[in-house]
Amino acid sequence: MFAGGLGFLAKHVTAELQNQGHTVTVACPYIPSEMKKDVKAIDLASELKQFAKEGLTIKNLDFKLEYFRPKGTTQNKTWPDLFSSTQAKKKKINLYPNSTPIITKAFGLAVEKLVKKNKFDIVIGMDWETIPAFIQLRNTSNIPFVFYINATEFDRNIGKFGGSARIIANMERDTYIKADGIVAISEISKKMLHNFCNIPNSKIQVIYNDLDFTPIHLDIPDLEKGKNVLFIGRMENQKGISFLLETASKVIQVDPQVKFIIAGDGAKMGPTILAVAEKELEKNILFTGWLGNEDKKRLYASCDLFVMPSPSEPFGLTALEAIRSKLPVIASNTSGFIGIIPSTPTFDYYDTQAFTQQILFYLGNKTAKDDLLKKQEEDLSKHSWADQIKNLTNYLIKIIDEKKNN
Amino acid sequence: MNNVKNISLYFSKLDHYKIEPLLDILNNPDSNFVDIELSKKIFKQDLEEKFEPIIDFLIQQKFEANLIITGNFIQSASELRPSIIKKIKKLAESKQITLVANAFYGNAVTSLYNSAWWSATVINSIKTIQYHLDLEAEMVFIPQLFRELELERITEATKITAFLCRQKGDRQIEFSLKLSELRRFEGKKASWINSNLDQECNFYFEPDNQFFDINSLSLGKKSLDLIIKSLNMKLGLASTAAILRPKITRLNSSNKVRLNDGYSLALFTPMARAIIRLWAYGSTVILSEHSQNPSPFSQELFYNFAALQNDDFLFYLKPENYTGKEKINFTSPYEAFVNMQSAVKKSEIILRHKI
Repeated sequence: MFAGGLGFLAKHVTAELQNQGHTVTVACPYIPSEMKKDVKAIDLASELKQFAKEGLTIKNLDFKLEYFRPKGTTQNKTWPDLFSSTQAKKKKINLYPNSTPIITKAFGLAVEKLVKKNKFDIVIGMDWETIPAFIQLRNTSNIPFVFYINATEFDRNIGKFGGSARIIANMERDTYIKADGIVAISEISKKMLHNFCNIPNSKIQVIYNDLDFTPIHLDIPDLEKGKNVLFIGRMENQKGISFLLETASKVIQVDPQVKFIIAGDGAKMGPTILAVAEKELEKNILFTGWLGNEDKKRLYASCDLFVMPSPSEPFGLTALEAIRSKLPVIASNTSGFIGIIPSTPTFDYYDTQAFTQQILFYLGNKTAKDDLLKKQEEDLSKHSWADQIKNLTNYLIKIIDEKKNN
Repeated sequence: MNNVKNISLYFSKLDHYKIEPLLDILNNPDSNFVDIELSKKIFKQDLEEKFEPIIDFLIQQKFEANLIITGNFIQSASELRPSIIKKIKKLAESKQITLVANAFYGNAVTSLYNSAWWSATVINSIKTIQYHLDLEAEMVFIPQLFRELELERITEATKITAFLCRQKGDRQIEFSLKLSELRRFEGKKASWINSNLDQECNFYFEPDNQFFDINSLSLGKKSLDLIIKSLNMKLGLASTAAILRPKITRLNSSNKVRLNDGYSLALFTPMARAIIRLWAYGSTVILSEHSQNPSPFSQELFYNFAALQNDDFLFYLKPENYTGKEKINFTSPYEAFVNMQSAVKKSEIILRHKI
């Protein structure tokens, strides 16, 4: 079970592939009991537990438990926190638990068992977490394997790239190139995979993201629409939260009526709140914490401009949600979604002056803001998820054929 | 200065707050910010396990102290544990403690930006002390002394002219000053301090090491025995030190008292400063409405907002107070900050709905 963008992507890809007549089996390392009826997937949790008890050795894979926690600590030696029902209920779980190497390796062995029992034409691994599965399948079979990359570890750790992040990134660099194919979710992501993992461009297929999203046009009256700027995302370096605060400070100096609404949670929540207090922005920057779908939709309907200042955003599905909610978007030029919404005004993520100017311009010019939304809606109307999935199918068929012929 | 003691104990009812995300508040602005039932339950427990043993300790050891106390504390304690009220009365009658009235909800910080509001709640505390203890408070607690602080609102209404203030360092300072000397701006006297209002006031500055905020001392620690033992030891040491090595500086007209015109937030942490700015902002918004359209509703909101500005809330903004956690419903100072930010927003919304 992957939370966040990856979970939505997997669900959405699967749904459209099935819609187009393909048979798809989804394997998850764990599905919380309360979600089992909603998630149509195979829960491999019991197999994972079994493999963890029997021992975890995958030939050609160097991914030790010590990489994720200091030597000598006894924490989580029995079974990962991720699988305890109390942990699963908590909203805040670390990006990766200490026991990640156990989980991913056990998942790899369980996937291999599943593949042996069934007749699949191809295996698609979502992100680096499926690298142990890929290596184990390579050790024992010749089934085609494609990585579908939602984000690389480099994307997730902009500004702080050490420890387990570096180990994962090295694993990505060494492994992705050995797969039969790579799917990237945007041209920006493709460029990152080419530059960072040395994967030839010819081997990477871009399938632009999309999602099922039905907006509601019921706003929150007490939020007083007019000058509300919305940011939705994890509070991490990857999302450019520090640049947003610097920009907010400049915007508020010019127009103290502007409100910034920050929706999301994450490791940078504390430092962000402290920075808001230090910069004296407490009246203008409001925090909502993590939001459910309905609240998120109402927030889109209650704001005037959506901003995405990410230093590295492989796609940025929230931008599409915003546009579908009739909320125009401005974004850093390192955001993947601009590949399908080229009318989006962009700025360098570090250029807070340009970011400030764009916010003030669109909040102050209703006509320009309406025009922008119109153009972005036109761009988005040309994007067809069904066509993207047809491209994916053709790419997968090509890989299956090549593999057979070799 | 008569009756002022070397040790100050700060008693207040610590409110416990609901975790209310902004969107929940926006969807339902009429819900209560303070968890009334939880606050009552924990306060009852605190009276029994914390405050009463400390009072008993003072009685047994014959320690003398200034007792800085809120009207809210007296009112709630008389309902939940009347025995503590009787003991406080006994101590005050025997002059073992000096009663120092604090703002009703512990909202002394409001004195920094809204003297009228603050003094109204101090007067409310003094009346509550009179009602439940049948005694007069002898002093009033002020968090900072500065020339813009409208002390004449207190002296005129209550005849109390002694003020106790907490300060950094280890030196006690005492001085007397006429109101007409205190309330000077750019060297000029305030014209409204006429001979009827002008009184000599006594100011007493209690250093940090002799000031004990009972909630800060004990919250987060698990063993109550340990709390009492540690407090006993600290009180004993501080009291002995104060008697043996008095570091009292008595200022008089020859060594001039230097006071700032306005208040300073320099000694607060950045998050506390931000919260105080928000409170000041909210107060201005509510009072501006109240001054234009006075109504029972704006009056009620005015008092509710005063209750919100409890100094004890600043306690939740310190990471060191989260070590034990068993009685704190916030998970971090950041969560506390966001909750107060949302509560101020809620007050604004309620105000907007009703007008």
